Amino acid sequence: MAVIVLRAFIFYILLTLMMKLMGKRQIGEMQLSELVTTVLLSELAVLPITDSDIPLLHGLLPLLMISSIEVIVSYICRKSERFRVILNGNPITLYENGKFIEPNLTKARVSADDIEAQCRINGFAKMNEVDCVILERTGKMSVLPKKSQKPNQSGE
Amino acid sequence: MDNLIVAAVILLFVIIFTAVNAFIICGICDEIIALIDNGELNSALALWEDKRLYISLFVRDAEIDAADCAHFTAPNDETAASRFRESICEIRDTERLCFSNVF
Repeated sequence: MAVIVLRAFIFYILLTLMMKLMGKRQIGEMQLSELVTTVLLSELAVLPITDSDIPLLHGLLPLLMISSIEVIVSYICRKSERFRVILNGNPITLYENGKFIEPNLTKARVSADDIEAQCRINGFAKMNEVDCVILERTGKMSVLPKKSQKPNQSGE
Repeated sequence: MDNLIVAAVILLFVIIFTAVNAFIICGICDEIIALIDNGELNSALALWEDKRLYISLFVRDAEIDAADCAHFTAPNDETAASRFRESICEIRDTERLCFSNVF
């Protein structure tokens, strides 16, 4: 039991340091490689904590390696537009000029209902108030109003 | 930039450390196996006892226990040497970087 507790503490410290190294993006809006890294890190940390049969280094070394690779990949993404596009893709326009762009909806695996729901969340009751809807690299939808429109604020 | 340098250093350290360590453990296992094959079981056991702690840092407890039990259960047993040899081979093959281990 003491071993498990001590390992949990060690991994807590190490994960905190690794998250610090990777920066705030890891806990903010994540892109694909960042999501993969976060999931992998949590899985790698859990195994040696819960199974004392597994050496501590079986979790520590992959954790260090994946964190380091993520920092290096992030740096390359920042420097190279082409690499960024390959890894994270491009924003996809889903709705523009009053029409849903069907090929892009298929590509993004998003339905018109999803887009309309996102518009309502952003305060637009009808689609004719919206100029365009873009699916960002992070997976979130940006809803841009027509210049004459403003989203309805709560309480108004 | 600082984070990038730290990350690159860590990555390099992990790769080199893992590769060197795998090489060392395979070398130790090969040495033990060679002693067993030459009939020097006591020397092999002594070498195992000497390196056991180091190997236990990188190998699962189950495999370490298997090697320990292979000779502790029956010191005069004729099959003890072969059991011990098999368990050391298992440890070596697990640490070896080869196609079958990766896939």
